[in-house]
Amino acid sequence: MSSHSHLVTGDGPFTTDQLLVDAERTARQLLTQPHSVHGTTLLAGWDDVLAAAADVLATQPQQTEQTTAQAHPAAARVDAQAAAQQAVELVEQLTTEARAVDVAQVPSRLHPDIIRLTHTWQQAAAANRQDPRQHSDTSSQKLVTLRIVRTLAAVAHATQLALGENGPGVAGLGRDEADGFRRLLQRHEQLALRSVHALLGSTAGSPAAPADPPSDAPVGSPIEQLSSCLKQWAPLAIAAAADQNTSARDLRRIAMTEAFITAAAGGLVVAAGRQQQLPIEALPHLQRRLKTATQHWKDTAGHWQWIRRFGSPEATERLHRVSHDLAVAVADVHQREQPGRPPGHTTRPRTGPRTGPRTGPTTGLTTRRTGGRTGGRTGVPAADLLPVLRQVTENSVSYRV
Amino acid sequence: MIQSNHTRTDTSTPAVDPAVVAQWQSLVDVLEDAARACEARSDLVDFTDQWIWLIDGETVRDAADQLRRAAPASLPVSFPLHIVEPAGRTAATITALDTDPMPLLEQAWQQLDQLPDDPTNVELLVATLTLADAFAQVRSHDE
Repeated sequence: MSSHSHLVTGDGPFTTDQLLVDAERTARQLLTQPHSVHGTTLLAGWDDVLAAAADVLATQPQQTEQTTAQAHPAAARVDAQAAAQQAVELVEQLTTEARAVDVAQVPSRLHPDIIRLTHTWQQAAAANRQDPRQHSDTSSQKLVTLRIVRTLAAVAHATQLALGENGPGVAGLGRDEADGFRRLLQRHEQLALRSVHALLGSTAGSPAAPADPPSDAPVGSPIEQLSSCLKQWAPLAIAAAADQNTSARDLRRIAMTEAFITAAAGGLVVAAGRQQQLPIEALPHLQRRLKTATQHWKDTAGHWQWIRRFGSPEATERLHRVSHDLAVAVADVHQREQPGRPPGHTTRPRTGPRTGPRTGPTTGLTTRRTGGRTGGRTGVPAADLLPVLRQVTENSVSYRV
Repeated sequence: MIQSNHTRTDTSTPAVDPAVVAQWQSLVDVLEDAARACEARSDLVDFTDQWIWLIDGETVRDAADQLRRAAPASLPVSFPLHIVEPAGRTAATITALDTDPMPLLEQAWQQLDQLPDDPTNVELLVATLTLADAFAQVRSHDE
């Protein structure tokens, strides 16, 4: 089995498999490039990428009918055909949505890696047409479909990361416009990942299923979301901390999460002082106490890192998820409450830490992050910070307001 | 390295090449180091900005956990000996303070690229995207 870094070099001709691996590798390279300069160059090519994907996929069902009719059991054939059809429908859906918002009309040159990727896929489609026997077995056909959808997910992810930046890469777009496109690409990434799960026969859902947030997803303004996340977090953290079967990793995560919410409360104290919701003379005292509480939690997290619990269970998905929902909510509130900061100084997590599989219960996290916004990034809604501050500090067993 | 929390081995899991497991283990260890380096940075900034690096550390650790889910065998959380030995904690803190998380993340990405290619491992794809998030997030604060 080759590694991801396997390169397609030489003069060819290359097999479809080699070309698809190369395309996926190109998409992976995009994930770590400095995103601040690439927003529109990636976005403008999304329509081309989808068209090339459709081109490769269009060659798959024909092969299935022509070459595998006698060689494989009917069920496997149907499975491979269904997978290909599912991917075709996914790409059609993404294309329709991208064209509805005129992605291709974004004024920008195309990113060189996007050009390379689309050319590679076009070559793969041509290779498929020339030699339809390349993927005559059904498992191979399914892998082809899988690679294409995985690559789409990676490109969508890189693009939405780039659109979340404040650099020159999105200078040609308004902030709200960039946020809208980013939301679209987030959705497309989620749909692609759902499709990958469905292709592999897992229970994550079909690509046609809407990427709705889970029922317990907090809604409303960022401050309401933070409040909701804190309400979920507090009883869970207390119950888990009191349970002797809780793993050291979970305990460490609890302490670390408490450390950053008390540290974040320090920022909220400053914002509350600025909005005259707290008396100025109380600020240094509150800051000092929160700082001490933060340090204690960090020390506790450090201690738990050292503890070895034999036979303890794995870290739990729920704690992980609620902790990160809280982190995202904290980041959103700080973004709102500190409007005077220069961009990039206290940059919040742009895409948000994600938890667990990107489908299923965690799919709604990015949805909530953007869906909860009620205005542009410059507006600071009138927020009553004190109740939330009280909640934040009450979560800390070592501190009371 | 010594093993910490998770020493369980799932007997129902088919045998996996130890060299491959070592590859995965090395990758998550580098990410744990990067997470510690992020958290150490929170001591170097204003109090109101501490949470940013703490969240960065959690995000990097999130990627490590995601990789543990994707791995072909159960991977323990390992700590370098210099953290565990007597007086190791102080030494570890000083080491982490002096460590830039970005080169560690770059190293982790290179190691991720060297893992065996398995298009059916959707958890690995998710872990890759999570690591890309952590990469972008830390870089935006490191610049």
